[in-house]
Amino acid sequence: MSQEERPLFLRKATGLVRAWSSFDAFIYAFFSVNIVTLGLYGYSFGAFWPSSNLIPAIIVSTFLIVFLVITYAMLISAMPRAGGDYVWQTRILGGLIGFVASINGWITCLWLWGPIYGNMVQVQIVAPLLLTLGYIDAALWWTTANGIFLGTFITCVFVSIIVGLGMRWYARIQKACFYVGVVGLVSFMIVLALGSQTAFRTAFDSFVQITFGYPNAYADTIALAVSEGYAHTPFEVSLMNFSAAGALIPLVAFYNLWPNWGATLYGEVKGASDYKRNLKQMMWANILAGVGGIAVLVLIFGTFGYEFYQTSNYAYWMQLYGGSAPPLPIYPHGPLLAGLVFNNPALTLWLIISMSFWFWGWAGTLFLSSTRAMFAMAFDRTLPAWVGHISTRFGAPVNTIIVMFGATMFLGTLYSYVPGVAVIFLDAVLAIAAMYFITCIAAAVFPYSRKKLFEASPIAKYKIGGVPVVTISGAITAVFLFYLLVLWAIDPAYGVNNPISAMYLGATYIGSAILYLAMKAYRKKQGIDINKIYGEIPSE
Amino acid sequence: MEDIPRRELPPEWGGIIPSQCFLEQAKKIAELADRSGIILRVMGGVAIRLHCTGFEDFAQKLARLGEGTQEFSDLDFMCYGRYRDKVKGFLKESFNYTRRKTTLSSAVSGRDIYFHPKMWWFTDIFFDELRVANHPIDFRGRLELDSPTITVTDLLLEKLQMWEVFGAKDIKDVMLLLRAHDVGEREEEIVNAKYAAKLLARDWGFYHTVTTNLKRITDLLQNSAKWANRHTLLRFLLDISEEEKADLVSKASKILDYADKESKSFGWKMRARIGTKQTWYNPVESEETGPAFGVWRLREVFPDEE
Repeated sequence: MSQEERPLFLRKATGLVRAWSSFDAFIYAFFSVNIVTLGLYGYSFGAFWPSSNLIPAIIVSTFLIVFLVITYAMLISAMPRAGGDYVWQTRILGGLIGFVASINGWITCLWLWGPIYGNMVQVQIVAPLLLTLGYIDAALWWTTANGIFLGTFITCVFVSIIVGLGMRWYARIQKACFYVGVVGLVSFMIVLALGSQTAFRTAFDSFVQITFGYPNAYADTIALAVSEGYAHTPFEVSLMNFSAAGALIPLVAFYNLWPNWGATLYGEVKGASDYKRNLKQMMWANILAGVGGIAVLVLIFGTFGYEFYQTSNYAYWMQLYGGSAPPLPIYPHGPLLAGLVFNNPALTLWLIISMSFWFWGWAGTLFLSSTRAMFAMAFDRTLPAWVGHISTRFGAPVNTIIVMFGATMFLGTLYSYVPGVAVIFLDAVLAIAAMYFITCIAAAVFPYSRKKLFEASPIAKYKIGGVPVVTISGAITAVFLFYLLVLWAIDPAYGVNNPISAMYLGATYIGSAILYLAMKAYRKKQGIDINKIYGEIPSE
Repeated sequence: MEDIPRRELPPEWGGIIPSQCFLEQAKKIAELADRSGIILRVMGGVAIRLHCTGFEDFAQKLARLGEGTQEFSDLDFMCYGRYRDKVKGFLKESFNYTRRKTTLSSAVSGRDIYFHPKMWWFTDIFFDELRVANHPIDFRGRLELDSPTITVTDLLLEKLQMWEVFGAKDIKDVMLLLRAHDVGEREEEIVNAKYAAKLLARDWGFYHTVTTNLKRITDLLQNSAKWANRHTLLRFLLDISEEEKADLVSKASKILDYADKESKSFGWKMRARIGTKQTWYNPVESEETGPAFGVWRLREVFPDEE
């Protein structure tokens, strides 16, 4: 039906408004898998699998994530409510499984992400900026524990403010960051396209010598990485090695597994019952992250040199695990290095600052989705009702932000200053993927376990050979996620199978199960039947 | 999905709450609120009835009085945001109304929902702005201009801003408002077409929706026989006299003239170039697009709260 045509004589009930447009939801999805903040950071670990190539890993994972996107777009359409995974899991699989998986995937696990975001402030924004401005000691100070703490604090304060301002303001800020960030990324790509490897090598050597007094830095970076175990495979050889690329998929997932990060927000997105709208938002984010990521990598490899790119990252990360300090002792941030090509500090500053908008536009993802999951739990009374209090001025669940801020800063402080605590953060990705896995199982059984609800939903008409598409896509995604979970669990190279971290997660799972059972019993005494609440989707 | 709890209605009502109950309650709430220092103004269908006293015969012709059916379903009020907390205490103490728990959607909608103690209706209180609208309307500085309802100009705009759900009931309301009021350049009991034109001159989308709706109403009146034959819901057009039609067409034309003559902003002109190729209105979620709002549900599930 065109917009000019409408049911002239049909009068519907008074409605509600939702704060976000489809475009806002797309930007959020795109930031959640953004090429700069998460992508460049994640790619830098690829050097630990030198025979594998990031490009085929991105292609294959982008394809597989299509099924994740289909699954989530369908569940959103069937139950477009604040809380996302929590609502679907509890309504389809029951309260205990849903609550435990969701509270860990969306809340307690996100407390662990604070220092990761803080680390990005450190290595992608402040340290390269200070270095460019000539404040070498200050830049190095930012690489210490104080820098991580401060980065975490800045992130948490910024995120609390923009999330606390409510969805309308969040959308405005996010949109501004998106536009500036895109201009920055295009500038970065143009600089890379115009630069040559020879010019970069000369500029890099000159910069490191002037800044740190280290000659022949380019060649020595490569030599250092080789001496510490890096075994180079030429780009052309690794590119064709698809089986080896499989090992990088769990690494690439660090940046591209999250186009559905807005799943908990769809109670606030216009037209969320429309499956195709939801699909487009997340699918474009997934595709652009894949295509854009490959384009950026190709340009980086061309200008910096594939071997240098791999070895500079390898040497940087090895230094943090006891290796020797590389000639460039800070994170080899792409915009910083690209700016060197034309030996123009103003250009370097522009690239670092404009590309930092990918961080500021994305940072809100640390709390925003979690606050809605927490709100949904409080709304169902499986968390205390005060947690879900909504500020009528801003339309934001302010108490959830306070909880997120307090817990994230507490753990961030421990991470920064208490030796040995950092290892508990290693499983931060795992708990989220585990929650996705449960959601996909819920999606697969949805048409059979909640037949009436499914049949009444807009997704009931999508079937292949009589089998609901949500079942097929849910099952495929569950297999994919299971593959990731197994690799993360058995291969120590990903750094997420630490036993102490696993014990921490185990404790949060057990603790949340106890919390659920206690809240259920408590509510029963108050005359509130949690099972009855889970019998239907939440009110708006 | 929603189980609406049984209402406690007197048996003699036969399951239909008399319109008079709505009208009296609305007036009483506005009056008592004034005495308590709170500005609450009635909106929506109830306000239109209150503002069109003396034109019941015309409303009867339009079949807008709801004989034998439920004419009104809820009460709507506009209020300033600074009274938000006072309103809760006022409605509780004076009318024993309870407020529905604030949700993300209701907060963003700038709307509080209150339950009648016997569940006869729910009452929407909007603050500062009507956001649940295809074209949100700002009421700041407007509520002092009339009582107990919002101004007739705002009542008319509240109806004419609708794009997605502008139906037969709304057409009748617009006709009733125009029949009962003159069109001019001030507020008291008159549609202030100058004010409306100024609003429309700032926003092309709003202009397009309002003028399109007015032109359609004009068309309905001028070709009433054709439309009445085509849609049973439009049979009421045949009961409107030629004199009444001429009056309505003339008033609608006057508003359209004001809207056309008002000088337009630069943004308006730029947006006009794009036209309807891009969505020009703010979509409002309905029961169909956001299934099961569950306005009533919370009270049943959480009986001990609020």
